[in-house]
Amino acid sequence: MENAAAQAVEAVKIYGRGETAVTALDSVDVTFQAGRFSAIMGPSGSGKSTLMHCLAGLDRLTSGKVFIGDLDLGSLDDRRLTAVRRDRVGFIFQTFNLVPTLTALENLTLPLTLAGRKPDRAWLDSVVTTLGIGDRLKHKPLELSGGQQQRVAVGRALVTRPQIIFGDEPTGNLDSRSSREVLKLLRNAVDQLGQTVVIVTHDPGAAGFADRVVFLGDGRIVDEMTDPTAERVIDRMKLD
Amino acid sequence: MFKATIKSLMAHKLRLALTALAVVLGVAFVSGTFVLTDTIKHTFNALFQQTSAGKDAVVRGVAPYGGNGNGDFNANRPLTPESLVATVRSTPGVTAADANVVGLVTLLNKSGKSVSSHAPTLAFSWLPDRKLSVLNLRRGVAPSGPDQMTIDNGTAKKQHFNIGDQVTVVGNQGPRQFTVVGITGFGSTDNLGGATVVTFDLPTVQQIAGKSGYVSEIDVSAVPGTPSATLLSAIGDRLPKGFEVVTGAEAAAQQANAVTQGLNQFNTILLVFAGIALFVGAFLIFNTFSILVGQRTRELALLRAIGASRRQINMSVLGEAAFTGLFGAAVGLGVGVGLAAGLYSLLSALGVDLPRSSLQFEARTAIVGLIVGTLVTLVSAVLPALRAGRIPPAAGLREDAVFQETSLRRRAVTGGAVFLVGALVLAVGLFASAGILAVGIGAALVFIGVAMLAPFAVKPLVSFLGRPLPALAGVTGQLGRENAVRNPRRTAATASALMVGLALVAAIATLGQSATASFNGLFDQSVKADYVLSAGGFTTVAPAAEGTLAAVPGITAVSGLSQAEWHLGRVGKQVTGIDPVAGPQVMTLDMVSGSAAALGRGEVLIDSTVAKNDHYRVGQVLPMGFVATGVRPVVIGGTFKTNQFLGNYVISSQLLAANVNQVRDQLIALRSAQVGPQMTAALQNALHSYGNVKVQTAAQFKSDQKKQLGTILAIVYALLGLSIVIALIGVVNTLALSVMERTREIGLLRAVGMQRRQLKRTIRSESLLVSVMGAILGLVLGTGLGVAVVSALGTSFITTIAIPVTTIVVVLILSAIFGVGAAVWPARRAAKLDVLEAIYTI
Ligand SMILES: Nc1ncnc2c1ncn2[C@@H]1O[C@H](COP(=O)(O)OP(=O)(O)O)[C@@H](O)[C@H]1O
Ligand SMILES: [Mg+2]
Repeated sequence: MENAAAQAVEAVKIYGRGETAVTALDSVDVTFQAGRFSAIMGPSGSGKSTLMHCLAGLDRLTSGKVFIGDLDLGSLDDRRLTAVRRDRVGFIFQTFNLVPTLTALENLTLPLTLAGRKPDRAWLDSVVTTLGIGDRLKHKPLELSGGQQQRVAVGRALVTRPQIIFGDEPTGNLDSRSSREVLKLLRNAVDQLGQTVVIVTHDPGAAGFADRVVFLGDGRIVDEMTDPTAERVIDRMKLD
Repeated sequence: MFKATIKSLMAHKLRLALTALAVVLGVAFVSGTFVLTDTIKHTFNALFQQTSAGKDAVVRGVAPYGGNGNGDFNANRPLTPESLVATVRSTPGVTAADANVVGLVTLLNKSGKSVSSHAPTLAFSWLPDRKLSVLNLRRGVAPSGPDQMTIDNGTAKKQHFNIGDQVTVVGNQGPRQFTVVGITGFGSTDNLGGATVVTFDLPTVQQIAGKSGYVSEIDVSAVPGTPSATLLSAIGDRLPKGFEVVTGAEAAAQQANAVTQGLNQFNTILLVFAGIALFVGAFLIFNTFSILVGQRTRELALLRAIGASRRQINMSVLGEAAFTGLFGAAVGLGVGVGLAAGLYSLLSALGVDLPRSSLQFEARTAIVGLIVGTLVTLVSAVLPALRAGRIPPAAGLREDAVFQETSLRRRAVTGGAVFLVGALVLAVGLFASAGILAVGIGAALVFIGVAMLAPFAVKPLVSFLGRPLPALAGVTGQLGRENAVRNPRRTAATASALMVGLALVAAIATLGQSATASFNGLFDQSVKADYVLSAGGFTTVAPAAEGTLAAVPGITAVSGLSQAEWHLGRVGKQVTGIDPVAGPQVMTLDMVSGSAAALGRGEVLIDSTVAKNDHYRVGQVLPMGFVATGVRPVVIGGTFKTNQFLGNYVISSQLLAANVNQVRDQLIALRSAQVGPQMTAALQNALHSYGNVKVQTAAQFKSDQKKQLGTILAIVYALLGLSIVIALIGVVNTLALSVMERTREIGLLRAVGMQRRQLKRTIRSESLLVSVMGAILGLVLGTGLGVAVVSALGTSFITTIAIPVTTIVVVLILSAIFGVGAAVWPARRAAKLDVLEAIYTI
């Protein structure tokens, strides 16, 4: 249990009430270790996004607990929870990650600016170098390709050196080349920058980049795999 | 397509509600004005009909220049000799004929002050035949003899007058004591629209408010069943030339008309402000429909793709506008009625005792309201509708189908052209005196032109104004600024609505400031008096006060200034009467030709510019037509340099008195050996029993006049207030729509850690910038407009151009505050958005 970056304990999330109630998370217990790259997989509607949103402080559980580090998110009001998202968590959405009126650089440093903090020059430089978009920093999102936009989003998730970075199908909208580059970036973030990354993906190839895969089905953890390869993941998926 | 329109209306009902609100307010202003004035008119008509029921005929002098023009009852027709009463009375068929006298006096209350500082006190003769009188006795007895009078119940109640009280009435000869013997009503009400009414017996009222031997009119009642035509011709046959007989109903209708004359002007003024409010509303409507069309680009493109024609799309948007307009107008009509009812009660509460009457909602009010409301909405939606029709079917396939800036160049050209044409029309209206309508149309075109050009100013202006924001409010300020320049057309249209209202404020303020600044100089040039005495509001001073003042030790010259209307042919003009000796000592009469002494010979002095333009020479005879006495040949005795306080024609007060029904002084000007508290006290003491005279040194008078100008300005600002409110609703509306449009972005910002507080601040920054931009455009434009108007008026009472710096700064600060205020609701909505729902909105 030591060094958990994020953790869910008996996490239950029920949408709606009565007849139409949907149990998206059905008593999920899961821990994501710091300094590792994890993937969450599972069929559509199995609760992957819900789990990720609840872990990242974007949504609240119906019952159970989620922790970022040892901070219980359930006990926080909106202001504190927002600050957690800003300072301790990085989040990469599938699309529409950037504010259209801000430049790439401004988007990248947005969490810091919102916190009223100055970016750490050295860290920022290393992030920008890793992203490889040094020449596009002054551009507005509309002038960037999809891959470049996602890389800026990765940069924004990294810039605060958060405790954990979540990505909900961060490469879901990209061609395979861009997709591969973004995954490499995330891998680098873990290996070279010491970050913790959790992504949701449907792509066994993407899962191959991870240290560990957690399989979700009908709102429960149904399986998990350490040091996965694409082939093993494909074999596991055939079981469903 | 009709179904699509309805669906769209339902889907956007919240967004359209604010649009409809602009129509509601504008139409409410229009209908409220109509209902109020119609009701007051109706009330007076009914009242006069009721009170004239017993009058079968009225004998009076023929009004030489037509009608009951100026609302002064009988001031604009010659008096009737009292001797004619007997002639009328002896006419076969006549059962009673009473001499009726109407004049103005001042009635003092128990603390020695005039009972009303703004409305006149009317003195009537008591008509012995009760059937003939407009007044009925509520208590007590009829006045008889030189020291009895009656008072209307309204005034009696307010001033606690009772039967047996001793009161002072200031009449033609000055203050005089009377005993109240009766309390009267006017039909079913206590008084006549707030005016105080006192009555005396005939000889008494002739002394204090008329002329002995003369009456205002003769009221006649006839043997029941006498045909009106028979009665009129029987009396008419006995009347000398210059007199006429009309039915009581006709006379009543004319009197009601005279009382309500002023209402028409009041009506027009209110409608002008309602028009301004609707004009501002048009910007809001235009903007909302533009935004809605923009937001529905994909949906409309889809409709096009599945076969809807361009025309059908146009009609769908226009249909939505028609519904919104009609709905807003209908609600507005209702609100207007409520508004009128409220104002009616307010007037009553302020002491204008209006008879209880049901509100008059005429068909015209409904028709005008509905048409105006719908038309304004439709016209404002035409451009957005056309734009909607031009959306290509392929636009549905692109996610980021933003508006194209293709027509920027054309917009610049059209906007510039509209601006120039407007400026031209305005200039013609102002400098070629083409009339107020040209000024209005010109100003409207200038506003539209500037609004069309405004998008070009958005980027530089907002970037400049927003420069301190990031430093002050960090990234929220920066985002607010970026959002404001994001869609320049939208920001421009929103700001433009505010611009119109504030431009008018600035223009009026410039006029007012310039008038104030000019006043000192004009006064010093025109007036030599050390003291200027005046009565408040619309009341005047009995000329008898002049004699009393002349007797005060240290006073070296006293002259009243009284004004009368006269006619040159059919053209109405004003003449001022002054004392022939003291007048030139208290007023500047800078003679160009002839001499001021001519006044004493009963001659007229003319402004030298007027004399030059009209080719008058000294010694020539000017045929001055007075309503009371007809055409008098008056010799031109001299010409003088323009004096704004004297006007174009000056005669002696004696000549004036001889040619009007009753003389009342607007002002009394004095020269005194010394000026100071002691002299002021002495003068006040001398006029103690006059009750309503303000004793002011020249300096005090000047500052008092400026204060009065300030009051008028305040009223105009209040009337413009509605337009500004509508413009602010426009800011709220645009922000709310923009927030809706940026839902996803807001979700994203919240997801990466923007606090609600910060989000609100972002929206407030945007609102602040849009409002301040509108204010700057408006203030610059309005000050320019004001300067143009002032220059056009240059030759008359405004001589200096003064920029109202304080007002401008105050308006700017208020705009900033209200701009931030306008963001409260949209910001709260934005902050309430659920982060995940927002971010997954399509
Ligand atoms: N806001 C919501 N309201 C109601 N049901 C929801 C909502 N979000 C998700 N669900 C339901 O919860 C279940 C899990 O959804 P989700 O976490 O999005 O799955 P996944 O990301 O694995 O596809 C699904 O059945 C989905 O329909
Ligand atoms: Mg999902």
